[in-house]
Amino acid sequence: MTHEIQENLPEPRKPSTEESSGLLLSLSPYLLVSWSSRFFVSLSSHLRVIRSSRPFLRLPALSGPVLGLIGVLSVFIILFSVRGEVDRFLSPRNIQVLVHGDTITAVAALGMLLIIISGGIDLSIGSVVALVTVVMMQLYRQVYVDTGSAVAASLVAVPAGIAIGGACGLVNGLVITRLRVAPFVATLGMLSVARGLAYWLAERQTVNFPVGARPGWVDLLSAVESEYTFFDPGVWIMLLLAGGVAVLLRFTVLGRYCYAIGSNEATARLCGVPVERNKVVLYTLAGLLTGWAGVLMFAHLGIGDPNSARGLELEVIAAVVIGGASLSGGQGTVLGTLLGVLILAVLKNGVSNFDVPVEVQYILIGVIIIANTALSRWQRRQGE
Amino acid sequence: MSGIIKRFGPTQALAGVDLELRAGEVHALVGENGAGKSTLMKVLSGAIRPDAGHMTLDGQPYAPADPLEARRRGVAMIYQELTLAPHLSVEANITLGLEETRLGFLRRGLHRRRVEEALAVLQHPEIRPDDPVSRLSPAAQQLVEIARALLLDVRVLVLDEPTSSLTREDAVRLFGLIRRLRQRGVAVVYISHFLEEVQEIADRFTVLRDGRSVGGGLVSEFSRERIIELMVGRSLTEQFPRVPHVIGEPLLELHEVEGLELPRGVSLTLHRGEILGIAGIVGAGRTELLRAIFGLDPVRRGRVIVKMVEGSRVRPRQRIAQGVGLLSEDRKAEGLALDQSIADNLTYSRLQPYSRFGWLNLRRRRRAVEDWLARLQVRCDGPEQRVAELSGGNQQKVALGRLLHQQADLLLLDEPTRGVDIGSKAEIYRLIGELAAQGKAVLFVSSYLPELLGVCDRLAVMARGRLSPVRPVGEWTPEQVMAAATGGGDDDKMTR
Repeated sequence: MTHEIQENLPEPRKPSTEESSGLLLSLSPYLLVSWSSRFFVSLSSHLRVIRSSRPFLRLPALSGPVLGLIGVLSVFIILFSVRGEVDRFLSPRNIQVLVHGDTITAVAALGMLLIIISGGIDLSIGSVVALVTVVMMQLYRQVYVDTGSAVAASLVAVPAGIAIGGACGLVNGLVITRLRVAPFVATLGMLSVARGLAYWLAERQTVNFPVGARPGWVDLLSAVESEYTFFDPGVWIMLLLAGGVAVLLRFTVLGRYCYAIGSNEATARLCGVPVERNKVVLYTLAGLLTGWAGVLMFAHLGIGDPNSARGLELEVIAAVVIGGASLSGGQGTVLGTLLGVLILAVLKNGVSNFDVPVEVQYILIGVIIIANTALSRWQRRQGE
Repeated sequence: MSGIIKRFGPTQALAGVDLELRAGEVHALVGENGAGKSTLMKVLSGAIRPDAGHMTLDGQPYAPADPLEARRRGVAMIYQELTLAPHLSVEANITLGLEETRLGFLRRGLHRRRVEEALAVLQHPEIRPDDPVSRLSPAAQQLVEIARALLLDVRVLVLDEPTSSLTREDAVRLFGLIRRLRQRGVAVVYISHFLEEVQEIADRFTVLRDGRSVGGGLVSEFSRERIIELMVGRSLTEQFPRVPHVIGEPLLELHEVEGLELPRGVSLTLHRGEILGIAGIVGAGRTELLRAIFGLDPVRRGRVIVKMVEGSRVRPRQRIAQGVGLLSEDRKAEGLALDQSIADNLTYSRLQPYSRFGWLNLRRRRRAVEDWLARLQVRCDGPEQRVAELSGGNQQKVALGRLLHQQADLLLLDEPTRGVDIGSKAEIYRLIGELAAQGKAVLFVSSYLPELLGVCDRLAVMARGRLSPVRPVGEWTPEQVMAAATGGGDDDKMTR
């Protein structure tokens, strides 16, 4: 478990440039989404909650995730200032490392967000990601051997990887709605099945690219920095997907139904919402996003690894919950989720840069999840 | 108990109740649904605290902070819905919360002795301490609850509708137990809708109406008719604005409709421009009837014809498309998604006007919702406010507004004025009248008889899943309705 997180997190190397203005720059993509849609909505709703509370309990008008991010950031900035390493911590290079390392978590969290808002849970994400990497590599090898073309092999492997994720999501959705198995149990089963399939297809070992057949897009996605766009393309695609999910939740019928089903399934039925069909669609969409997370994992690792992404689902759930979603459904935003991912990323990056044992990461993540949830519950109580 | 007052938000559940219980008597508490019986007993058993008034027990001041303290003082309540932990054994259930320990370990021998003593009083040898409660019949489970009360020296035992899920035979055995408890000097409070049971078991009675105690005395000195008169009350204090409306062609026809358990063989015809009331006590099968019509519950037998189209295996979505709307009796658990906005709750059942290929035009929806809020006179901050922040009356207007927004012309209203303040009630009555005037049909289920008599054109009474003949409202007297809702049906109990 311990070495896993370190693995997901590229080792911070010596900063190449000594600029500290990179922080705002790095945050700007995250905030882009916010300005486009939900930020002001969530902000104004918090303003109202706080206005109606008792005067001496007034808080600055900031939602929990924003507070959390500011808190985590300031703690590390102070700590690194004391050691005189704040420039390194805030260097563009480190910010690239930090964001790059959590792209996979962010993509998977977008899918998880859909499921959690609708009142469900998906424990199978880590296994499905591992399965996707293995299937992709096996197909890639097969097609490459047959045709000798890396392009053809990629054109088969990438869509197949996304489709495998979607298929796993579809099966989850069908088991939950048709067999009426609780989401926790259904996806727990998928966790085991997908991991088993991954080991089977990989014959219990990592699968590598054929010699000299590593395609260019893999290097592009796995590079920490990018010459012209600052972040690697994977980050930008993730932000596009985030925008897409935000729009889906806010501006489509499916999005409205998603909140309705999670908030009160009985009401949704009363209103003629096809609850089962919508759930299947949501789990499938989440599966497709997990599939893309698997493609990213494939690129980042450069191998098909049946042992990869262990425990990813827990990290993803933590991010979504820190981002203000409720496990009982009906609540959650894309912006909050991205902030949740970012909080975890800053925490992991800061701790590992600080030469603190990696165990501390786990403890801190746990404390933050609990503190954050307690804070938002307390805020809600004040509002009522 | 004297001068007990309890408010829940704007509704006053208890408006000054006096009640005197004597040791060794069975005291019946009667009244219509919503009269305040259950609230009063929750005050007595410590589940809720009164806003005003005081209680004494054996001459000592009595103000329990919670049900456990009430139990320790000897006041126990058996709720209508049983509160046992189904996986635990009889013994574990009886001692739950009262476990005796020595050095942190349960004193199993002591437990067993006490539980066996308590079970001995029941005289039901088939209930053994080690059986899991889930294997027992409802009647036996109820006895386990009573045994739980007996574990502590019970002075006052409250039974809320104890026979509602019992067969006649079990009810008779329960009455035997109640009489034995009376002999031991226990004061038994007996809450029931069934007046013949009250006359069979109770010594004295108190009538509650609109949160007040309005009368009482020795059961033997009152006729059943006189008790019903006290329950119903003579004066209709509220205003029912009459909107003239014309009755048209049939919209809904039911022929011998049966649900899974309830209702049982219901037939009726509802016309355009008509308000048809269904009276009855809680649990009579009225909600189940509405849910079956709407497609939320299966129809096991019989025919449902909506707008000349027959279909008994339909989904709510199809019913909504046909112009049927259901207002749930339980606003919080089913009727509304409380965490979501007013706009969402109002439009969930009909997003089509604002959507194209699944995309929503939020600006157009916002404008439409603002119009609706003005028409319904909902007091709120705006369409994006969370429904949970509204008062009960305004929540109900949103829930009703949804039916209007989905253009329903056959409205199934289940307790539309429950938990609503008097001002909003009058607005809802006016709205229902206006809907009928527009040629819509309303099926109006309520447990509050005055509003049914004040608003409806025709009325039927449901008792134990069966519907009485539908008659014009002028041909019903309150006493006849109460008698139809609470009387008879013993033979049905036997067969179930």
